[in-house]
Amino acid sequence: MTYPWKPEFEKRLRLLARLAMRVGGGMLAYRPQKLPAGGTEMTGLRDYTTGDDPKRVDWNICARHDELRTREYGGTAVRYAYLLVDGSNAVSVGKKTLEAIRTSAVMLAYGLLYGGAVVRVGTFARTLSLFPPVMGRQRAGRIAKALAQTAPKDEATDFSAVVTAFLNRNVPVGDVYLVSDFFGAAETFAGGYSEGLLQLHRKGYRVHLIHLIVPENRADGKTGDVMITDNRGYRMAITLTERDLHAYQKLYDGYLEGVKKYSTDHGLRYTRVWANAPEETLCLAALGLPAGSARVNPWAEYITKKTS
Amino acid sequence: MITFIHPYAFVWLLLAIPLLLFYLWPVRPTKVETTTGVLWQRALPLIHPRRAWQPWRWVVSLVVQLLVLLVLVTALAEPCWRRPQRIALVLDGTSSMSVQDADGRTRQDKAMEKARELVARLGYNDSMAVIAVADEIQIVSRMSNNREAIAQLLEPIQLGHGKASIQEAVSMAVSLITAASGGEFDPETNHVVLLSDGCFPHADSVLADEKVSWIPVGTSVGNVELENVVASRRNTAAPEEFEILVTLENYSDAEVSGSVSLKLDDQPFATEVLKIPAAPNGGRWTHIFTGKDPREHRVTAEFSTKTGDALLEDNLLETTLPEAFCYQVTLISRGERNALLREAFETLPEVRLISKFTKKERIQAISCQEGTTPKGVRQYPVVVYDRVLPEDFESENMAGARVIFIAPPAASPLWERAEETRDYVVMPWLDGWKNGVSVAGVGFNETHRLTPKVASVPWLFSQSALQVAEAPAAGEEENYAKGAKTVAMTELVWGIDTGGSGVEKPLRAVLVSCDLTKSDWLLSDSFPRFLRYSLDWLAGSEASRKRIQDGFEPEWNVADNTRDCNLNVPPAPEKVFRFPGEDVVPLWLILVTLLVPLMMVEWALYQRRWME
Repeated sequence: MTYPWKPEFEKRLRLLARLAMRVGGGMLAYRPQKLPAGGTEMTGLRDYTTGDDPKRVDWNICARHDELRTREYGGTAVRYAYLLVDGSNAVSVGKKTLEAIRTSAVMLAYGLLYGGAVVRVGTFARTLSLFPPVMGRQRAGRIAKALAQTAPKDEATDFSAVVTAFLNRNVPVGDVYLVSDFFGAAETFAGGYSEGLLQLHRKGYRVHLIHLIVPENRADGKTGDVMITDNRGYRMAITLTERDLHAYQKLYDGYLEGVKKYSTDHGLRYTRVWANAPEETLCLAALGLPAGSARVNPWAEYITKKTS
Repeated sequence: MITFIHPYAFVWLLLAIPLLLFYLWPVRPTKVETTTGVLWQRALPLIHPRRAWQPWRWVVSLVVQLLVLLVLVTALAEPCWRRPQRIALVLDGTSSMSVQDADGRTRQDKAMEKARELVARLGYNDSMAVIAVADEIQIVSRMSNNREAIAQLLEPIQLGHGKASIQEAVSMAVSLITAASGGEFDPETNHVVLLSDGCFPHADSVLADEKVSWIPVGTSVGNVELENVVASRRNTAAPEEFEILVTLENYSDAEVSGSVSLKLDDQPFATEVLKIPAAPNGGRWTHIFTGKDPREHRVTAEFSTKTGDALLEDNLLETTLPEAFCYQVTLISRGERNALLREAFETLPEVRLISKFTKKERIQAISCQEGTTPKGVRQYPVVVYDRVLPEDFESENMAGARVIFIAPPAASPLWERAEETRDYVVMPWLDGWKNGVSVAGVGFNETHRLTPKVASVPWLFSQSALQVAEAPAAGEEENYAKGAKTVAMTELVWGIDTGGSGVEKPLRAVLVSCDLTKSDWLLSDSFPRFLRYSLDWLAGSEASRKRIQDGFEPEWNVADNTRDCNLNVPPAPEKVFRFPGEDVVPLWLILVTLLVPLMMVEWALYQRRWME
């Protein structure tokens, strides 16, 4: 449970974030962007030109070489991360879906804060709700609280509208983490999400897909007389046979593979999170790490070499 | 006509009520919330034949379920095509049914089990009567179609030691059926079912009867029967001597060793070790034990063998050795000596004859005192008054006397005497005596008719004076109608016994009305037999009565043994009784076979696989 915020939970998140950093970052991986100027780190010297701040003239070099040399300063750009969590009625499906999506979001948020990013969390359904930006891992509890206090909306996702609303905010370019089951009105992922993702890409946002797999959407054990209801108003009373389930499962698996293929084709980072997985496995999956990563000893290679 | 073996099974049709209730119970389908409606929509097209079928599925399923229930209950009721049957079940309860077979169960147990099976197979239109043959023929149940009642009546029946006749029981069973079916015996609907091992007297004829359906019970078992034990004093010249005939019959295929022991009044008398040949080699063993003893004894014969015997109750027999007796006959003739009569008495070895004659018509009565011979044989005194009478019938000597009166010259307190005389001839159809006494064709001339005045039994009839007023011109029928042709029946010989009249010492007398000197009866070889019969009747003892009963033939009077000791079960009939229609494929099996596709249809309806 992500909220109330507890130190034990934070400790677990911290350990998992450290682990992710140690093994390469996973979904948190980030190449810092160097700024040519404006920083506090001296990057070199150049000839003095008109307009340079006299304070930046290196007078020692000038005395030694009898020419004016100006010091150049550079820096690392602030990392902006936007964590957009699915808040539609899709997360109401299944017993653990809502908790799983919140845990995944909090894990990612904590990992990003731990990496020094400015994190801005939002929920989306037909519309977008963005929370104030948060910086510093000490404030991760605010994100957990905000997510816990935001109930899922009884409406379906309209991703294009959400992206449009997001871009209209004119927020700085950064990493966009989408946590959702990615089921929309279209029969394929590309049909429902590609337009929005393309807009983000054009604007320079790096999109990461955290795909929540809801077990209740699978066909397992649904033979017999059932009433199928969808968050988009689809209702059907039918008696399902194994053949029906097989046909559906084929479509379902194809859809999931379609999301993954789209991510691969478009260079998006992609990870799958199973809603019914244990907390640690779920957090690791959200970070893009395999389930056994927590038990990996990062010093194993060194120890092996030393003993041999 | 269709009938049901278990009609009460239709109670199970009440299960249709919960079926209907379950049908009326609104069942909500399982709700599946999903976000993948698009995929479901694509996987399950809206236009599908199954969608059109959905509303009717439950109704058809209910109808099929009710149909399945109906077929199942009907199969449980065991329907069968047959007309109402009437069955008379004859249960053999003779002694052979108590024999244990190799499996340790008695034939009686098996018979009762089969009887219960038969009762259970009765349809509700069928009726059954049960006749048990035990010590006597017992109608356990009259024609009834109440199976429970018949089954309850069967429970307490204990068979296995009876001696009644199966033949009579079968006849009674046929009568029961014909009485119930209006006097006709329809072989298609009427059955006399005999549950028996086939070991009973006259089994061949009973089992060959077309009306009898024999259901064999048990398997063949070897047995030795103590067939006969006959004790007799056949030597009338030495009545103290006796002989005991013992006969054993072996019904098994192997020789049997054993012994026969005889006891006289529970005292051992003789034991004989023996070997009885196997049945194919004759299978009989006969032996005559002899001895001397004038007293009456109870004779017990017992057969024993170490190899064991299937039926023990036929190894013991009892009989009675009669007391030895003889007669002292005093023959008093009037006028001339009746030499033929004397010689007739002398032909009887058991008679000590004292012959006298007188010229008087009446003489003093002769005393009659019982005594014994030196060998201890009881001696009965008999006085024969031939054409002479005692002076006083009330004298002491006449009290308790045994007397033969032949042609008494006058009336007496015991009889009246007609004055006129007639000639009589005994017609063959009036000769009703036994014991070899035949008087047919014997003439009795100048006979005065005697009429006893006390309790008496006529022994010999004759007829005379066939004509009274027969008109020759008239026809035979006319004369008969007028009573012109009459037959006068006349009793010629009487047995008089005053014992029933309350007299203190009753008189027993034989009254012969004809004068033997004027008759040819003395020349007949039946006359000594008549004398012996008369003497034995006058003696009135158990032994003498037994001799009258057994007859005077020198052969062994072996009683007809009606026991069923041959325990070899006859070959089973080719067609054992079954209810009509049971030898074809039963209807319940057809119904159960019909159930299979119905269940498959129901299963398919439920699982909806039939459309795929």
